[in-house]
Amino acid sequence: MTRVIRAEFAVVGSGAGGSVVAYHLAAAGTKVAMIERGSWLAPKDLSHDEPEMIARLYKDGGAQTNNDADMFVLQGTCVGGSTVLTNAVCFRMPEDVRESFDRSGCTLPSELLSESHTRVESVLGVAPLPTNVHNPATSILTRGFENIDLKPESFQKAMQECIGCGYCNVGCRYGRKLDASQTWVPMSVKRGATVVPDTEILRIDHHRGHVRGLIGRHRQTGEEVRVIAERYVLAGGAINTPELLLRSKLHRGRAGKRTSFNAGGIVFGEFDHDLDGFLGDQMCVHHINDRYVIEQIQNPPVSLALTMPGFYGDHAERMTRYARMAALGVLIPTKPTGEVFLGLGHRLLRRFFDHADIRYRMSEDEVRDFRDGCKTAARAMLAAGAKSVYVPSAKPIVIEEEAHIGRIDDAIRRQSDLIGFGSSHPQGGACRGADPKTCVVDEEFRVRGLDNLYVADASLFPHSVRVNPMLSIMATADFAVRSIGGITPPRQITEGPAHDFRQQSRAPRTVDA
Amino acid sequence: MSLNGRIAWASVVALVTAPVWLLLLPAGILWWRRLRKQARAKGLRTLNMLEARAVVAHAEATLPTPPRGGWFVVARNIDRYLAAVDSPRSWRSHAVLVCLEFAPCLRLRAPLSRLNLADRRNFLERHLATTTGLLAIPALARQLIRMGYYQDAEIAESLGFRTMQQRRPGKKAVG
Repeated sequence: MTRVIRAEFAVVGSGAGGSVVAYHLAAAGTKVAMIERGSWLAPKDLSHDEPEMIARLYKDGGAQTNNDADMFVLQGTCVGGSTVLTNAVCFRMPEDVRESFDRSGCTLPSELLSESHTRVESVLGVAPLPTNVHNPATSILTRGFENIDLKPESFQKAMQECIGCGYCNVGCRYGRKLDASQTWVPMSVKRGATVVPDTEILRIDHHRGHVRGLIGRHRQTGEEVRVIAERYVLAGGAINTPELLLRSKLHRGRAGKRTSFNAGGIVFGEFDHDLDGFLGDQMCVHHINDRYVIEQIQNPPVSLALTMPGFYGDHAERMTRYARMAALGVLIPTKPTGEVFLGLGHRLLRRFFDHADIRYRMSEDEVRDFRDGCKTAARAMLAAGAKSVYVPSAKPIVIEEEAHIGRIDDAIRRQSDLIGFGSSHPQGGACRGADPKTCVVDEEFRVRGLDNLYVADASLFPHSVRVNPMLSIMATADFAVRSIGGITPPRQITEGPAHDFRQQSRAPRTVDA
Repeated sequence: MSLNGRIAWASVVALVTAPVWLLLLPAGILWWRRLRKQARAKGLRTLNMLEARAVVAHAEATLPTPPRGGWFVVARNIDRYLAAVDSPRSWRSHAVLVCLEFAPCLRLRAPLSRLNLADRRNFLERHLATTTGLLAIPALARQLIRMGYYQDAEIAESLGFRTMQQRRPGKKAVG
């Protein structure tokens, strides 16, 4: 028995790219079906049980790794995609990145992209994080940065009346984070779009340069699903979009190549008194330069335990001082040298290897940048008064004074020296550009060689955007609807929770814990 | 060597020794079923008793204080996590725990859960304190066990963490 879904536009994925495209298409009066691999969870379905939420919200229960298993790649698998798991951090695409994209043929005209950014920001209610939800470690780390002559900045976030519970990465059970599941998806549904959750698209059925349908299955019932539309938009993210192209025998040799990441690890500082960094928003301040981004990240116990360096006794001992820990994540933009591919296991033992493999190895330059980021983070920690600093290296080094910082050079020399190394921001894999030899997607966001298949997600990016990419992906998708649907987005969007909130002056709500 | 390369090598070894395994297969199936049955009786949905024993043995040797319900709580928490995961990669977590149990056999020692506490601790610290290794078993096993342990509310509280209910109920979470 096959379930058939018919629409004018079929959008695969409901994250940062897919939800924005679906909204604009639905708002223009077309019939849209948004197909999502994961479940549709309302805030009331979310909890602070970290392992259960990691299992339900993260792809492969958070166990997606590169094929050397020394780098984790985190992605969301739920309606709203990875936006549900972010800390709602919003950065506009840096101008130098946009210019570099332009040079690669991934043209995003400055003025139109700026309009898209503004439009997306208004829907997400992007604003500086209020200081009343800053966690107690923030002021201490800010002082540390200032003591080494760096000026940390507060994050711009997509939130509304955040209560600072500190559990952003397992979804917001209070509905205060304005991710795609709280904004674009319900706005699309209100405009007539259909969301099809728990449905995985396995293959694109194409013939002579035309897509005839998408073939998938319902993940719970196993029922076969066929999606028939006039146009199809792939927006499953930088791993899933190339994987789907490869499974469909499209652009073999090009799809999956040029994958990049914002990748990194966490530097911990231990203070001689309790900071209670868990009381408040996880991410409040950051420092950014051309080579790395340092972002504060205070995690609840399970997530902190998974990233804390150390093996057995030393790890357990450090964990006993959980309340004294402050943490800074160091992220580097990697070169597009990664690859998503279907490995030998997928061909021979599909029952066990029914997924794409990810290949990525840090270059010497990238290791150096990461090391330098760790050194800056360690300096900031010491300047803030930390008595010990732990870097994410397998070699157990402890930094107690400035003179010890040189130990990082010896401890981090290659990727396999790292503990807790990973990325939540994969990009590329189905790059957009002018060169048909390297770019799967043309300048009109269309997959080359197919007249009705488009891409609108992070896989378009020819290289990493350097900063947290949610806003860049949404703005790019907003820009892409001109080509995909022949639609000019309205100058202003006057709906959604952020708009409603601006319209009403409401008294702050109290929340039942 | 990449993870796939290691799996390929392990497959070659398995293939070469296939006649031995084939002879042992019927007994192995019966043994595996018994382990599953025992685990069901203990309320586990995805782990079998062999995997649960490996978790308990590892947790007891490497973590400071047991949860109030004993070390088996860690296995139960991991079981709950694995039961909620819907992924083609899930089998790896089970394979990691089975390999963890038998890892000492490669050094001609008894399985992990049969070693006494000091030997177990010694084995883990000496041989599995690494980020690499066959199938990244040590790293993945550590992560699973940490997840199962630090999830326990009382353990989290003992670290100084306060849940939302323990902060200021009905008010803002901060401060």
